[in-house]
Amino acid sequence: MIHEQGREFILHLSSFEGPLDLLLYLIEKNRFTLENLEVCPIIDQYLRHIETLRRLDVSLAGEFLDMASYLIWLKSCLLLPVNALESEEGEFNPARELQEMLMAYRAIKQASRDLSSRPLLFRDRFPKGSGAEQNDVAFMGMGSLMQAINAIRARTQKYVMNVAAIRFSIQDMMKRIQTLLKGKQRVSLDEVIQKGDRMETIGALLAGLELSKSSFARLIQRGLFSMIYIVRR
Amino acid sequence: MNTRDIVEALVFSTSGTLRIKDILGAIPGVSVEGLETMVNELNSIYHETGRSFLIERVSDGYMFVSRQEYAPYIKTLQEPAKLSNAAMEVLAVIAYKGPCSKQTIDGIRGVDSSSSLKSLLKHELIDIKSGKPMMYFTTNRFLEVFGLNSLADLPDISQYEEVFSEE
Repeated sequence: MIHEQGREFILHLSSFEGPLDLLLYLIEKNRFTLENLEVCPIIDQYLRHIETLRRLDVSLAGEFLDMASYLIWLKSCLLLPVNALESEEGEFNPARELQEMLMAYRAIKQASRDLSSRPLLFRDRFPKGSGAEQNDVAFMGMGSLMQAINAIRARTQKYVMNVAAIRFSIQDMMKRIQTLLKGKQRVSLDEVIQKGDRMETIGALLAGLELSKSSFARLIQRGLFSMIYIVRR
Repeated sequence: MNTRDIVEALVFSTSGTLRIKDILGAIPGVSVEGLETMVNELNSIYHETGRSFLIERVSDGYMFVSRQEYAPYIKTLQEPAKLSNAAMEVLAVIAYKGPCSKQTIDGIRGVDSSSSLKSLLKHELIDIKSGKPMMYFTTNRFLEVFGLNSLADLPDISQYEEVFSEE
C-alpha cells in the first residue's frame, strides 16, 4: 500500500493509458523531473502499486506486469557495481534507456493533446453538407479493404452450429438500438451487432422490426443485399 | 461574372474538399498564387458581411466550413464522433513517426494499440501500406480534420522535448 499523509490510497489503472503513463504520473507526483530522474524510488513506488493491486486480486493488464519485470531487471542492473556493467556492455546505461522511453512517450502525449486542441472538423468546423446528412461510405485505400475483409470474415467464420444456441432477448436488442438512436438519426444493422454471429444478426433484425411496428423507427434498405438502416421516426 | 465568382461557385458546388488542380483545370489561366489571393478576397468579403462560413485551405484543396462559433448549433444536428485519448496518442505517433509499424507505435506507448488502430482506420484518419510489417500512415482526411495543409505544418516534436527540459 502507498502511504500519503498517513493514509493509504489505491490507484485505478483504468485512468492511465499504460505503464509509461503511470510512471509519468508517479514522477510528477514526486516532483521529480525526467532530466534528473531518480530511478530507484520511482521503480519502488511502481512495484508497490502493482503488488497492492495484485493482492487485491485486481486483474492487471499484461503490459503493467511486463513493465514491472522490466523495472525489476533495471533496478538489479543499477545495484550492480558500475565497472561490472561497463566491462560487459560498453556505455550501457539502462536508467538512461528508461528516461528516453518516458521522454518519447511524454512528447507524444503532449503532441496528442495539442492535436486535440486544434479546431477539429466535425467538432468545431463543419464542412458544407455535413449537418444532417449521413456521410457516404467511401472506399478509401487499403484500410477500408482490410476492414471489409475482416467484417466478412467475422460474419462467415462460424460454420459449426453450436448445439446450445445462445438466445438473444429481443427486448435487450431493442434497448440497445434505442440507446444507439439517442445520439443520432439512424444506425446500421452492423453497428447494432456486437459479436456478429447469425443469432445476433437475426435478433437485431427482429428487434428493428419490433421497433418499426411500434412506430419508434423504420427500416430502410436501398437495394438487395445492401446495408439495412434503422432510422428514428 | 469574374474569375473570383467562378472559384466561389466551384468550391460551393463541392461537398468536402475541391482539389486545387481541379480548380486550375476548370479555369484556364489561373495560377496557384492567384487562386490563393482570390480565396483570401472572398474570405474578407464573408468576414466583412458577417457570414457564418469561410473557405478553408486543407490538404491539397479548398472547402467551405462553418465558423467555430456556430459549432454548438450544428452539433445538435449530428453528434460528432469522438476519439479516445488512446486513439489520439496513436494518431500522434503515426503523424510524427509514420509510416510506421504497429510495433513502433506499441513501443512508444508501452501498450497494445490494436483497438485504437481499428477505430482510426474506421474514421479513415489513417491507412495501411501493405507489406511486412504493415505500415500505418495518416491520410488526407487526417489533414482535413485537423486543418493542416501538410504534415510539415505539424509543430516540431523536438519542441516538446525542449519545453520539457526547461521544467
